[in-house]
Amino acid sequence: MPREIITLQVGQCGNQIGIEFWKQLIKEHGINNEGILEEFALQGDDRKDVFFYQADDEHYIPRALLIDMEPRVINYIQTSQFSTLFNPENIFISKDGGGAGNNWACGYSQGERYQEELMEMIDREADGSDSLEGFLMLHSIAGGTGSGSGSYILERLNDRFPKKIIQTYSVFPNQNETSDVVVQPYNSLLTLRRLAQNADAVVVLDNTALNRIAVDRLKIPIPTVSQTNSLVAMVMAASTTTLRYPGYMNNDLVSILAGLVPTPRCHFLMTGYTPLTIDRHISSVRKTTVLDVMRRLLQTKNIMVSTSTKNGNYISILNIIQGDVDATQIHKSLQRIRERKLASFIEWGPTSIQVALSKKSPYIETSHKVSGLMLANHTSIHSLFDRILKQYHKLRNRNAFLDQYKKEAMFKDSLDEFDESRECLESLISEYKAAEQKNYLDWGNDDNMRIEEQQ
Amino acid sequence: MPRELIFVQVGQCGNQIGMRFWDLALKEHAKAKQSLLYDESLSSFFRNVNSKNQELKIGDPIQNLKARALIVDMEEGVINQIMKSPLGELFEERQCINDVSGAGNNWAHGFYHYGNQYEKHIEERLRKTVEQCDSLQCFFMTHSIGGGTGSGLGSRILGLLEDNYPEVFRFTASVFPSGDDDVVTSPYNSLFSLYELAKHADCVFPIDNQALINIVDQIDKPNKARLVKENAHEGSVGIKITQFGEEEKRQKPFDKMNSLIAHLLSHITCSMRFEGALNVDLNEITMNLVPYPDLHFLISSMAPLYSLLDSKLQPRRLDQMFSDIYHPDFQMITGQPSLHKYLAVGLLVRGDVAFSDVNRNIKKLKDQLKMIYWNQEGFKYGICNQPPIGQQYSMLCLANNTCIKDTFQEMTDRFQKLYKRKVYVHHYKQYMEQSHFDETLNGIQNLMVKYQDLEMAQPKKYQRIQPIF
Repeated sequence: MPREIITLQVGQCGNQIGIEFWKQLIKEHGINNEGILEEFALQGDDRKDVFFYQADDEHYIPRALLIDMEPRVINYIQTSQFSTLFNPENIFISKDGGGAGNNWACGYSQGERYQEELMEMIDREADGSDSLEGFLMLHSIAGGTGSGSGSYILERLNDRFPKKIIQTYSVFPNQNETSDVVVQPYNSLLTLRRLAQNADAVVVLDNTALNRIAVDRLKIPIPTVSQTNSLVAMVMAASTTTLRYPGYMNNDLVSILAGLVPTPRCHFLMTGYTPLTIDRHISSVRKTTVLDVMRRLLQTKNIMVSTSTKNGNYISILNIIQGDVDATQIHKSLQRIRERKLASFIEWGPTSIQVALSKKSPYIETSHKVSGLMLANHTSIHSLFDRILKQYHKLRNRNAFLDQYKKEAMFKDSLDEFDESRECLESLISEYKAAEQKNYLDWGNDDNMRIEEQQ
Repeated sequence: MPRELIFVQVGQCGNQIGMRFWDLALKEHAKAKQSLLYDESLSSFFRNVNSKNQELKIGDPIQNLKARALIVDMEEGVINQIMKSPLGELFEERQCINDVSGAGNNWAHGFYHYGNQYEKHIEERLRKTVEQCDSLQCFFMTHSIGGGTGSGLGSRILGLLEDNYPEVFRFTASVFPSGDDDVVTSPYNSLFSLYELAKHADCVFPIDNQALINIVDQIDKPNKARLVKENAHEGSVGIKITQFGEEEKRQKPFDKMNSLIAHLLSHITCSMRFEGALNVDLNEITMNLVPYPDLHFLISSMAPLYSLLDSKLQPRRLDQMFSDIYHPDFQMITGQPSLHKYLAVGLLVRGDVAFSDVNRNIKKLKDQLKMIYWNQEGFKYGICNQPPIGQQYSMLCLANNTCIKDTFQEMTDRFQKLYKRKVYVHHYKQYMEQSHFDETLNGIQNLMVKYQDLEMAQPKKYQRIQPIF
């Protein structure tokens, strides 16, 4: 029963990550750069139809939509070695060619303007699938197109396909002292509201952590953008292995997310992956047993978000382990982790780590026996939101840079949109903070009572 | 689809800068794409026409390139020179608007007299040029604000652009007069132009001659002897570009300074034309660096400079470039930004520089920069893969800094010196009312107050309520 997933790549960041993701995927499935199955891959029992569909001429075409408001990045893809891989009908470039200019409102209104075409493309892909499971969206939240148009698309998807899962891989802005876009607090705030309300799961990634991992773990002194993007691609590929190499459990996105997201609003996940190598033939002398892999995944320095897991608690963890693994080893590792208290869990729910085993791609050689991916829901993610809120307040109190937003229809009359988004983000932060407490399950009720008292 | 820029060169200074710019643009594009096909990056600046003067599309071979530009001057000398030179083939007759006698260094003559006379004409030509674009991004105007045509007619054209095409961005590279200027009425002209720039432009890159002379001296210092013998300009590019233009045999004194400005213009637009890991469009520049619509004057500095004119020196280390860029010697306008507050900073890097290099250096230097308290992390990065000619990498810093108000203050002081005695005012009263003088003075002073407020701004300290016992 194939459960297809459609991938939407929005904006410069989204498209750059996307192209690395598809590179990884076609390597794993033994498809060459033009979409034709290689000789050695004809006997596979992997499920390619989750992410690809076959055209009449035996080409495997990714179920992907490439969306951008300006032509440069998509042109780069179209002139690269992957030009014949994508379906040209699935590429959308705005006729205006101006891009969104790092302006969320501009990206949003362009999304509105082109909604006919965009929805038509999405509908066409959806109709081409037997049993669509959901959507995967790749974007950044600090820019213009990925954040603005991405938010608009999220809202439309939720309206049109309410029963389908929407998962996003969202790249958050730099978390150290400098930013790479000055108005990122505004753009991030507005997007986070849509992510909280319309997405089912958000995998949080940030550039600082990715760079740190590339430098520290991969020993690349000066990582290029495409190398850090291939880290993201590896994570994305690993998180979908159970869908593509079917096993006993976790064969669809719903089952993966069900264990990770207990309450609908706490759906911001962080990832970690080990061991990490990119295209370099360094076989590090390392023991890769299941216990090692699981232990490493819990270390802060392997996690691709700049928060510290020392403060706060894990709400849930899912480990996807690939390689030749013995089931008894898993049991022992879990026991060890519990004994050494390597992970501190919340007190109001089950405190176990879910482990899923999956097969590896037979066409890629790896020098490690075991590798693992971790998807975790941790309460310290609210520190990211705190930072964004603080920066937003600083700018907003001076009404700086608001002129460009006021030019768009949404903000012409009032800036209420900003206030509503801020309230949404504040309540999200307080929900995560409450999740660290013992009485989280009663928290909702108390809240209601308090509001009634005030009234 | 291509995103086009239209160039408007006004006045003697504007046209001379324009000449150097087109020269540089052709060289850059020749180096970037070895094939002789008209592609999207070329179409931002040029149109492709065949011998019958029909438009050719993207992907066709290059036959005749025509620049997307408007050349305006009220005296013949400079325009004739342009048309006679090899670069003259880039322009068609109808792109030039000229008159014979000139504006006589009188802003009012340029603005009111020639402005009224040529208004319809200019609008018509503009409309034709805009129609030939698929998706126009912005207008780029080069002019000086101390003279007559560039400042007067230039300001008039700026107003026209705003009225006719309000959604298209208007960027200007304006040459401000330096301390010892050669034009006596420049204080009047520059203040009037400044007022118009503050009202109508989206973003202004002020440049002054004194700063450029300093930079050129710096470059020439170790190399004075060699440069005298050689014909030092970036001729050391692989392809012989005889089809488009050859070097001029003798360098005029302003040529080097103008090529610096040409590099600045090329740098700003490089991300639009070439690929990069982190693209920065022109509308992103306005979005991120202009917090309030009036405060749109950006101080530009470029590094490394030494090999802009002579590529035989050794390239210095990458990190050196980052620390140089904040040094006043590398700026294109005199001022001391380190003593004042930065409102926002944009860094555009070209060449093979990685994102982590940029990050690393910025972290190191951040402490030395005084950012305003509510925008402590106000940086905007851009990375473009195509390096500039003759160098491996280079960097442009666009800073919105309150030190520009000092420049405005000097200009106002010079203005006041003349205005107190009402010298030369009768030349201007031929075309306009005297109240215009006072109105302008007020406007500029308001602008300076805004900058001053921002500089003095402190975060609010909330008082704790003391209990009264």
